[in-house]
Amino acid sequence: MTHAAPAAAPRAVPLTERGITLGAMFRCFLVIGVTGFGGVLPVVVHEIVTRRRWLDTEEFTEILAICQVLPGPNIVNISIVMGMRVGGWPGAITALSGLLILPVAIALMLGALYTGFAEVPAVQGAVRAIAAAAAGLVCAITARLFWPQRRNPVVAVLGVAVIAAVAWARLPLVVVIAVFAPLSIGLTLWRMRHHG
Amino acid sequence: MDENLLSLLGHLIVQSLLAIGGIYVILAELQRVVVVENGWLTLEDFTSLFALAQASPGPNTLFVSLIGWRMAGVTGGILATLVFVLPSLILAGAVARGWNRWSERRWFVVLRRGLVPLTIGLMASSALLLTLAAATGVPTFAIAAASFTLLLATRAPPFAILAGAGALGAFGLV
Repeated sequence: MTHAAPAAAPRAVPLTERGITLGAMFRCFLVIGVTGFGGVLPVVVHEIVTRRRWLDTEEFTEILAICQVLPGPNIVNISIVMGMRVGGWPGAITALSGLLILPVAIALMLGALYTGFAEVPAVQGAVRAIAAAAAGLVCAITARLFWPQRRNPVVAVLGVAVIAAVAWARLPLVVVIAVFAPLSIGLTLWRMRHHG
Repeated sequence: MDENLLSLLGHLIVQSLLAIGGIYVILAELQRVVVVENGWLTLEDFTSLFALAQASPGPNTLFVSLIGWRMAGVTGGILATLVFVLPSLILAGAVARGWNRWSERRWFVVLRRGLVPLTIGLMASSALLLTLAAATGVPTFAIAAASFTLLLATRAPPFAILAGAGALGAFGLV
């Protein structure tokens, strides 16, 4: 893995003391919003972890973990949590506006144009290819989040069970979370007790 | 304000609280309310607006913006967006406010670390389902494999990878 956490991991430094300004935060989420096609998560990891190094991979996964069980799209929750931790409520609103302002404007413009747009073969081909590339990116991000946890047996066991529940049994996500969140926490707690 | 729009906004604020993990969870329910029960949109409209939201940059919250726009113009689109993200802002904001204070407390450490295996399982499931849906033949599978490799092996921004794939597709190569 070439993008593992930098040697001096920022973990010990509180987020408010990493020199992140509200302006930089707004610009960061503006970029995330406007370049995030077909799932925004790959872009978030690229901008926040790889490029700006505001968080390391494990810190990011922990924020994502909390944001995943909060209602609403993960990326919306991530922008609110990051903004809040850097600059309180004004920070949260700054990050969220940065994320939403351009995509909403673009979507409404596309909506106005869209009559007949889905019939053009070039557009269909582009959409098909973008969908495939986007799927490849989500696989890559999964591999990156998994890598620091590769020696954690709870991740392997629970990962397989969750994939079976979601992708094979097609259980509703609310049910999956209700069943597996306590299991995930319980097994992690048990492992922390036995391995420090 | 339009009575239908007000009613839509009421539904959205409730559904946004149920959308744990994102908008995909509530699609069926949205369709029931918007198409079947109230007839605010036709099924064709609903489906093409969803495709449009997928093809636009940004979070898939945009689907809600487009529903609001279709029903009540630009004002409807903006109001639907705001109403849909409001519960997230309050809840995620409250959690983040406590984050620094709780960060060393044992229960919060356990909660954060304990949810990591679930998170990775959910990510892997979406990765699998998306790939199964999108990589339907040799060319699309090759595109997915190439974008996987490019992201891990280079520092190419995701946007450039998607734009490259889009260009290949537009020229009929996929």
